[in-house]
Amino acid sequence: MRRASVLFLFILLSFHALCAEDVQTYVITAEAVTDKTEYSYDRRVIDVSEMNVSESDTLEDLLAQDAQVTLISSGSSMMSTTVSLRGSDAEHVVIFVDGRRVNSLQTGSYDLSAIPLYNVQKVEILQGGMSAAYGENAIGGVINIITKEGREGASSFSADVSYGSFQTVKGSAYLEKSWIISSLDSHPFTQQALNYPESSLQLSFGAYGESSDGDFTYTHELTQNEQIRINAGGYRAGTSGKLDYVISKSKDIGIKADFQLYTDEKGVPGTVEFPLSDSLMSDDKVLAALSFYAENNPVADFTADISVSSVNRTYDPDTESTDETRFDHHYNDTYTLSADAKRTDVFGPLINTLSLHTDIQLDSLVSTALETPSDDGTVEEGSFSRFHTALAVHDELSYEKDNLSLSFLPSLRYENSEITDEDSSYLKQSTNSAWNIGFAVNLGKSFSIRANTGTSFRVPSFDDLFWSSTAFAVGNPYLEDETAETFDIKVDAQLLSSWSVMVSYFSQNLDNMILWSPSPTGQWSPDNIGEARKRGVDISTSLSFPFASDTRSSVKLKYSYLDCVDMTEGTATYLKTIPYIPKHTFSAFVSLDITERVRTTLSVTHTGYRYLTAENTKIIPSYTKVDLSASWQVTNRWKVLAGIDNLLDQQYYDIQFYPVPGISARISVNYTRKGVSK
Amino acid sequence: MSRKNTFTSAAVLFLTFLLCIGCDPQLTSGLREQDVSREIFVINSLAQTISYYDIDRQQLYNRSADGMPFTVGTAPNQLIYDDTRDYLYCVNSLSNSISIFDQGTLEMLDEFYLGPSINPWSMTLNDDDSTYAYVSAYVGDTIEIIDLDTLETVESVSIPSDASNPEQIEYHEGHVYLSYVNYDDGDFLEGGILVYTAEGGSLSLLQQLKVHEQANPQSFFIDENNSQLHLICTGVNESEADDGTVEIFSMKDDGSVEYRDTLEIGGSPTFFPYAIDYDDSIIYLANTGGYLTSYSLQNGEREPAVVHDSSSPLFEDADESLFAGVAIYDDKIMISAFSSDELLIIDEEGELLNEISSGDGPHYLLVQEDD
Repeated sequence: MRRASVLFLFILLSFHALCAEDVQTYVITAEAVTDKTEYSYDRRVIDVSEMNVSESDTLEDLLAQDAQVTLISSGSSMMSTTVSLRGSDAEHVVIFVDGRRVNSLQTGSYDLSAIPLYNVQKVEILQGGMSAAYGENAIGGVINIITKEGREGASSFSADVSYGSFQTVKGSAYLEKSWIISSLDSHPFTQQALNYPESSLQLSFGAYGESSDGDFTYTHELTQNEQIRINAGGYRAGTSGKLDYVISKSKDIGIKADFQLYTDEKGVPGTVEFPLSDSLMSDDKVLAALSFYAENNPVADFTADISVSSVNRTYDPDTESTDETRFDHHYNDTYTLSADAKRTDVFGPLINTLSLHTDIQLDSLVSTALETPSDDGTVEEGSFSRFHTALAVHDELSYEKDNLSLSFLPSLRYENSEITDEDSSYLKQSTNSAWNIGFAVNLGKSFSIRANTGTSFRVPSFDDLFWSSTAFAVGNPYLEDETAETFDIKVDAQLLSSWSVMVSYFSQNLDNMILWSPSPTGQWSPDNIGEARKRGVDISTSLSFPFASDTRSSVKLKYSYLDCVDMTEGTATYLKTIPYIPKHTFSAFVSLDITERVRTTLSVTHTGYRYLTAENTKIIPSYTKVDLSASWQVTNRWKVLAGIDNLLDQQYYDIQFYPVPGISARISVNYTRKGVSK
Repeated sequence: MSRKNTFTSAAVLFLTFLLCIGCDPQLTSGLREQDVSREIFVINSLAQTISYYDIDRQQLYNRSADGMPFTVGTAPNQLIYDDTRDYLYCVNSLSNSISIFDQGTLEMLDEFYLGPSINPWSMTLNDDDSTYAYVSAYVGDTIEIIDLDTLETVESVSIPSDASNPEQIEYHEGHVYLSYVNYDDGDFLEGGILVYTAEGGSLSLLQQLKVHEQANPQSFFIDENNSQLHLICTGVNESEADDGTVEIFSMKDDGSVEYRDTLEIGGSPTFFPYAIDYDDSIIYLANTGGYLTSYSLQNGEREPAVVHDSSSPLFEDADESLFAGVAIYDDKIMISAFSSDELLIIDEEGELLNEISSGDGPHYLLVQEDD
């Protein structure tokens, strides 16, 4: 607690000193989320500023308000939360932050509770198989996180402090600043005389921290006694910064630099029942990236990006032990070089946009908990490297006339990866190609149909392949890649100016599905034993209305139906529903602007029953979770946000033996100062 | 239709829809109605259920007449029959509990919770005093002594610090025998056998006997005819391993044991892998490689000897990677094929007689015949 308090105080003082300039209000302008050619996909964008979340909250808190996203929580806010789209595994959803893939190469998934919102502008959710556009593992979908960037002429500072149940303290601060380096006397195209900024520098910088005791009470399933889930606390802290040097605004040429630092430490309760609860895990992450862009070229827009990241994970299985050799360490360094080119040609009503992408990635993983088989039949502890290359092409051919727009979007991707161990006695080579054909029809802004068909693939994670043999788990170095065929169609209709409806259908066939299952002695291991068929329907409607004068309130209703069936013939699970995936999910989200300054939101999420076993012999009961929050813009600079999560105090779990906390409350105070740089 | 009626109709439809999607299926543990005099109970590990094979009707029942599964806890390991109460106990290793069934109806009477981080592995009943049961705790490194009348833990006996990860436990003539594997971060250190003297609700250590490293002695059985204890060592815990052995011990009058012989049978016998044919003095061992080995018991002057080792198994299924359990009835051998969700019935010559679809992950087999 003391560590967290000192951290927040430091952050606040530092930023206030940096932002001493008294400036006038700056109006935020809309920004394109991305200009990739994926608009045939089922895509939604969440603008963080429109949601009742605090800047100290995390992506987990934001996505909890979206019915079509299934979160898989393993306990308190410090515990890992992963995401499932359309009934996928967590490893089937690829998380990008500013276009850079962040999924762990070791586990294949990413913990959403480790992504704070203080510097997030928008979150884009794309559902469906889309390896052709996004590469390996994008079988369930993609979540694109677009962080804020320093804007030309802008200067702002915001800070946020939050306190909540389980002695959870969070805080964050964010600063942006801009400097004009050189100007032109006249506009480069209009020749209009003005002081036109030609070269400028934008800086944004932020930091955040969270500390939580974490422990909470829950009702034991068998005894119905109240028990305390211990060792569920920890802390996390991070900082990030961006520098955008616009060399020539008229030619749209510039260089961007990014950095991110992150550290955490959290208890590992494992399953509550088993094994013992004296474990700790800590992660340290560093990312540095440099991008060059030239986006106003006559030949093609061009961007190149080079990034280096390092992840250091330490696992302490028994904090009470004095054995210095008990730790497990994983060191994962990643070097990525990517380049994109895009060219648009207009032939009357036909517009063709061709995009090319290539990347090279080199990973090294040194781990004391992974191993590979060697020539003599023994196993070796692990030092691995992975060399990955990708080449992709997208095309978007559009016909536009009056209100009608027709688009044809083919995509093709080729990827190759080679995994070797230190002495090259082990080699796994994966060569995959994926294709996608998309169609989009738009009738003005009131009606659209989008459809896709294509293939996707997933390459096994390092844990899948090399988890060293323990009494409870062992990896399988001979796993093959998963493949999937997907079809989806989506209809959007704006029925009235304030009422819209969306309906989508999808089907997906998975082959070589990687499933972890236990042996008779309880030792879990993965195998390519599964075939699965997934089908589903999403329906959502949104209605906006004025609740009070000069305000805009809204109601959003969403329903998802999922039918995910095991198609592995000759087994007891053939045609059974895949466990842990709810058939029905319903959510209602009501946002009421009671006055211009007071907004309340009510979120109701009903998660239908899920099967616990592959043979469908046991179920996890359905539950309804109600969250309530209210924000009050006290002045132009000060805002207070309070929330109650799990208002009905529902006892539920997403993973067996990992209960989720009951009712909890939090309050946060936000200070924002906006202006323009001189 | 007025706006009010439209709103009311929409609200009713919406509530009906919510009720429909809010209904959970009623999955209760099933009851059986017919009388069965001879049967083989099957633990379906992954389905977390038990099935029963009616020997006389030659029929496997995975569910009750009304379609309900006979559910147990998570990661069930072993079934025990209590002839005093006519109960079946199922040891659930991951949910730290013991499910209690009425053997006649398969009605689940209770699920007894042992406590967190116990990881119960196996269970045995005190035949002399039907009050007590002894449960080995793999992670807890203890023997939990349970009062079966009150369903309370009477005592939790810690095993010696150099004898961790106990697995099979057996009560025999006033003594409790316990195998332990001594697992250590991917390796099996010196495992062995612990012998305790049992007096009601208390245990006192009589003997600790070790076998070599990587032996991984998961299971054992007591050959009462020859006063021997056969310790079945899995070896390294991998499906392609071929280092299974059987360590044979003589049992003394005071309950202690003495090393006598080792049978190099090969393969990788699983946990609870054996079935004993006392008529022919043959032991059958299920192997993780999907085959069956066998050896003979001592018979008169005949010494125990390997009959079918891993290089010439009695029966092998080329498509099956894991045989998890074996049982003997009517000169037939039933094998649980864990990966393919089947029960295989073979004769004593190794000829396949029948394949029966079981529940998900069949494992432990228990033959039960009415007196």
